[in-house]
Amino acid sequence: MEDSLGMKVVTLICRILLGLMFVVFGLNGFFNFIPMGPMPPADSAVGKWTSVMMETGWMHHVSFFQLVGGLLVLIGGTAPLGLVILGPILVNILTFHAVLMGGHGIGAGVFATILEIYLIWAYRANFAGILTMKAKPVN
Amino acid sequence: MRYVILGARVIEGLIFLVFGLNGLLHFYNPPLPTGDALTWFGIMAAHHWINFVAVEQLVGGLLLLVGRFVPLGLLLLAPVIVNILLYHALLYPHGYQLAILVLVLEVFLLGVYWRSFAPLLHPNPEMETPKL
Repeated sequence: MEDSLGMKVVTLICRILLGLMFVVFGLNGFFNFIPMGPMPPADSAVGKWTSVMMETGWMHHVSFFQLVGGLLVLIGGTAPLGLVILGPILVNILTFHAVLMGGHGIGAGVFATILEIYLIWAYRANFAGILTMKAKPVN
Repeated sequence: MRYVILGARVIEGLIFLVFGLNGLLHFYNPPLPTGDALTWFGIMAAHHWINFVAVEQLVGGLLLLVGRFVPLGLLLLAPVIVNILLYHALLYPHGYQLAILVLVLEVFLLGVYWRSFAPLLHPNPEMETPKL
């Protein structure tokens, strides 16, 4: 597979966008530098869910994985591993906005998912081992 | 070793197939948790978030059980297991033993299927991807 220069540039841009998004969101989970607007009402499902995730420290674990996944995607040689880490986080971001927010604010998640899917395709040679139907274990 | 691998694959597959099916069909209702865990689980269930998790468990478990796309099944189950562990560690320790069991089986299976995962870590996979 010889990608053209154009494709390489597209891949690089997608990697930087996706990687930066998650590095910034991951860091924000620890340092809260992005103004987030008013919190959802405390007695709503979103409010209660969010406060449990925050108070138990679950959210910090998510932020940590966002940060690590974002960095690995940025670094480049480790992009496929980063994509594997960000994949399930994206599934949960989309699910959160779909089921708890009624679709509100899902835009950034959809954008990141498009970047993720394109990048998995661009790095498909790295994923070939995982998508093998009759993989054999070592004996 | 062959039979250890087969056993691990079938047990891990069955556990997630049963839990996945139960998440959708509710043939067994375990006692509800208490406190924050009940709040959290209640919201996840009422808004059908749990159904998405159940489908992932079901698909991952089924792939392991039938022995096709086993690495993909392991990849689907890994983040589910991470969240099961976080749930038990942070919210509700009750029943953590089963979470430890599925973690051990997952790590063992990732190890024996490592050839499938190695290209993920390789900067030049076409040179190194083994013929599987």
